[in-house]
Amino acid sequence: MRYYVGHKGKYGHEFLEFEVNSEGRLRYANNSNYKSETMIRKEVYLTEVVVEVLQNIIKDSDVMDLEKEHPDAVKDWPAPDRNGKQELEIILGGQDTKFTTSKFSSLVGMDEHLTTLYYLVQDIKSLIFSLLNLKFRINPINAN
Amino acid sequence: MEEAKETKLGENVICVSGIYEELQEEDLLDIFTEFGPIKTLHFNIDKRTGYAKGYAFIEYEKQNAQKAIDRMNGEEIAGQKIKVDWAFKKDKKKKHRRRRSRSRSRS
Repeated sequence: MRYYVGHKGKYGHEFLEFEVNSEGRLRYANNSNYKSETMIRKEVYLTEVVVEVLQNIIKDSDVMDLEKEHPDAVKDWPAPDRNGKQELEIILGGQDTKFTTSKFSSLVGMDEHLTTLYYLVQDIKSLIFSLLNLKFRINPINAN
Repeated sequence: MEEAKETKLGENVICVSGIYEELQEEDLLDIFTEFGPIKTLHFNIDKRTGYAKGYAFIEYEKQNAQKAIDRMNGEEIAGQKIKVDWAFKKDKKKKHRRRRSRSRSRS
């Protein structure tokens, strides 16, 4: 699973990205040129129990079937724009899916299937940020 | 030296999964404090439902995590079976960066 959120603006390419593979390798990168901060890169190996937690979060969200079951809704999702881009790519149980969209704006009036993605992203971030906090004492700024 | 410090972090962290979604934080703490003082708890909530997401990370003050794993893995809380294990792998690939270049001394 890989998640990316970022934008290119006044301070360069600012982004946050993390990925977890089936072996449990978690890689995290956070690049911000605001106040000349440099890129942060971290890597740690998660145990099977943790990987399973992530897999269950994804399975419970029903996101893997979203594109197949609601292709028209997915097609209408806002495309990446000047404010930025988000990408979520998942390979799980023989299925793979990838979503590319803009940063989330207001939940009010959001397409119901996009809210599925929204809540999944929040749940995944909660998990990953907890792990990063416990292992590296870092607190990624959750801009979204 | 930075690397050595970093490997210390997270070594007393366990992951508990399969937690009953209505379990309260204090009940979870009651159960796991039995093994030793807890330094940090992450008991994350499902933002859509408001219920517990079903997992928690617990960091113990000292080396009590192994006891918690041994005694609680496979046990039940509120009739639901939980899994307990380390959060981070112990035998990570060790990159021995200290490769001394072998200098051949000609004597």
